[in-house]
Amino acid sequence: MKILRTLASVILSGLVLAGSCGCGRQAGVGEDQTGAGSAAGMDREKTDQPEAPETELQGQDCYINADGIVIRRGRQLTIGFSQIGAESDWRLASSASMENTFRIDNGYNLIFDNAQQKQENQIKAIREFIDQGVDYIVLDPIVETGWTSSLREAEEAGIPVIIVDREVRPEDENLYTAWLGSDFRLEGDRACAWLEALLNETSADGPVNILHIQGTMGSSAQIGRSEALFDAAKKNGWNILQSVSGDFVQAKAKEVAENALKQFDGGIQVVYCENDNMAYGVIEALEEAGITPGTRVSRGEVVIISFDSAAEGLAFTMDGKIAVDTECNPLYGPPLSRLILSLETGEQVKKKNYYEEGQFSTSEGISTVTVDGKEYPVTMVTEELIRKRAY
Amino acid sequence: MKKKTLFGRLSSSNLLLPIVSLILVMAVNIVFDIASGNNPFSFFMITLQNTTSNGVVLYGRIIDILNRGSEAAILAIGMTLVVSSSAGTDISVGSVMSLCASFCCMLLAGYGVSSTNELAVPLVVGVLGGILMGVVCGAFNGTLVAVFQIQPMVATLILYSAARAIGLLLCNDLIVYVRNDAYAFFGGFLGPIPTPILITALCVIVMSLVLRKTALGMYIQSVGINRRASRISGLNSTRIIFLTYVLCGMFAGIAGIVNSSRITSADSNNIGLYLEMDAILAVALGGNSLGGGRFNLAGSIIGAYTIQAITTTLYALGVSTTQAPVFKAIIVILIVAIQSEPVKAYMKKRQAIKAA
Repeated sequence: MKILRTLASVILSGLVLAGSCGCGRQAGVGEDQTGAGSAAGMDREKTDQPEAPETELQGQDCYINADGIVIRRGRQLTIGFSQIGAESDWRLASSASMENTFRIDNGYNLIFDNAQQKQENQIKAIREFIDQGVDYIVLDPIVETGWTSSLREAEEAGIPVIIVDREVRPEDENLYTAWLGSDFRLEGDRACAWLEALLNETSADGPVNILHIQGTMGSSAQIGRSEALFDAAKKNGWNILQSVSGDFVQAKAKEVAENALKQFDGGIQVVYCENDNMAYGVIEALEEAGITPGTRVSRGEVVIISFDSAAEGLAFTMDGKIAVDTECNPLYGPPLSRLILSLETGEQVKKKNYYEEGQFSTSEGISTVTVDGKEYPVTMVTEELIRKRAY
Repeated sequence: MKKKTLFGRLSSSNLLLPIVSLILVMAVNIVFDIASGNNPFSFFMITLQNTTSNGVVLYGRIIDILNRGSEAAILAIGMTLVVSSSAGTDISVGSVMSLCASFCCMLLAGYGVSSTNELAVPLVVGVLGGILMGVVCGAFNGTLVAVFQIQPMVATLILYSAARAIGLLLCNDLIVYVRNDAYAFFGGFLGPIPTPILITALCVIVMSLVLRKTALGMYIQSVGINRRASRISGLNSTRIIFLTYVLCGMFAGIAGIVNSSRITSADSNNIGLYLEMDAILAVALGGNSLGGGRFNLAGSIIGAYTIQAITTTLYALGVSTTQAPVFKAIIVILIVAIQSEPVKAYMKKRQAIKAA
């Protein structure tokens, strides 16, 4: 009995020592408060493979392939990914990107959980990932709030959490390791800058009345894109007739657009839709009301501004029905694998990581838009471009 | 015997209050339009609109109400029968709608295909398949309620939670898009009239003919009033209750196909969401007792359109979509309170005093 107890205490102290070593190494790495979280993750790795020195393992056994995916040859990493659902083409493309990147033959074991649009399912998935002892938890949070306790549980279990795509509220910032995704505010700013350029170009006088169809209230995409519009409207003297939520869903957007068309009878110049699926619904509603979507405001056409740039959205853009479609890149698998590599090698990782995105239109006149002094290109949509894209 | 006037007949039937509620909801719009300086009847205007996609169509808020209220009205038919025969509600109809839509789209697109312009099977096969799926779900519910005598809410709770998930399974966890004009017809237009309105009208007419011309309506009510007494007097209560659930499932299937045709896709997570509650509410607003027994089909249909009229009115008044449910709740409370027994008794008493 006594022997057992001694043995246990020896092992325990060994573990504590290993733990403090890990923390020591990690301390230099990050001012970002997540050091503790990822350090604990490293500890587990150390105890799993005590012989292999960490840097060598990273240095020799990984390379980045042509698609920007980190291929691992060493120990397989288990990644738990809680996806929001399968509600749109965009979401499907992001799921496919994750599955293609974190394949077994790339050296990963991806546990994919589809939350079917429910936060409680995501919370359950995080708990399951913790029970399964995954190396990383990747979360695409459906809403910004309500994650504190789940993130804390993961932190206590020493599993680093990477938030992708949507955001969690800033108060929880120190509970996750890093965030990777789109700059929704910048997307909105670019769309508004494009509208400003269009209105300047056509020198359309008279009021600019905007119907604003918002996404699911409280989601990061909605907040960023809405704020951009509100600020641009204030700056340019645009009139926002109504801001209503279409929940990112085609049917709902069509219903609210139908009503707005009757309410403002012919007084709408611009419809600002916060995603492609809602734009489809708006286009249907406009056409049923005998209004042509387009860019010639002076001829009574209604300018439709959309986001996402899914294949279908770009097809509408090519037809000129969507005036400008600002991209929201769903292919976050490859950049995520590079972010994970940085974390594995103990590199300093920024809290917020953005990836590059495009903007598409068929209006000849506008080739760039400027936001905060920086120029962004606007790409012409061609059939070839649509064919080449992955989503 | 003196022939009654139309009003007299209405007021003696149970339809008066549901109709008054509907008119009151609509009247709000007249007041609002006058207050905001518009044509007082602009809410009720129906015009012909030239469209780029569908030719000339009917256009106006009343058309919107009739069109958007279709699914709830179709569901309300089945729900009325279920409530009457079994004194319970079928809370699975919304999920069954989603399942039927998914099954129909899966048949039309082929398993695992997420977007298609070409139909994999003839349209009729897909649509009948979807409706058949509804019948199967109804039969499942019916067996549990009628044969195993499980409480309706518990029995239908199974499909309430499972049907949506089965639908997702059928669609391989995807939203299946069937971008085909033939499929879009059921949520589109037939000539100038939105097809959902016609489908609803057809369902209502056929069902009321069946209930009137056969003894089915009477059987359902008598089973609902007293199951044992009906059995003793020679009615097969089990079979009749089973039948109402099958019908309810079938109507859920039809509603599901209409809803999915509107967006030419099977969005399992959103189709029919919370619609079971609207259907139950429609039955209640129509002056039917949720305790079973006597029913009034016309009342339920009016109830369904009243709910949609409230929604459309709130849109017209510019109430934001996030706050609309609060106002909807307040209006529903008022309507239900007006129809409650104590209020009715009070009104009757006042009338008697007046007459004396």
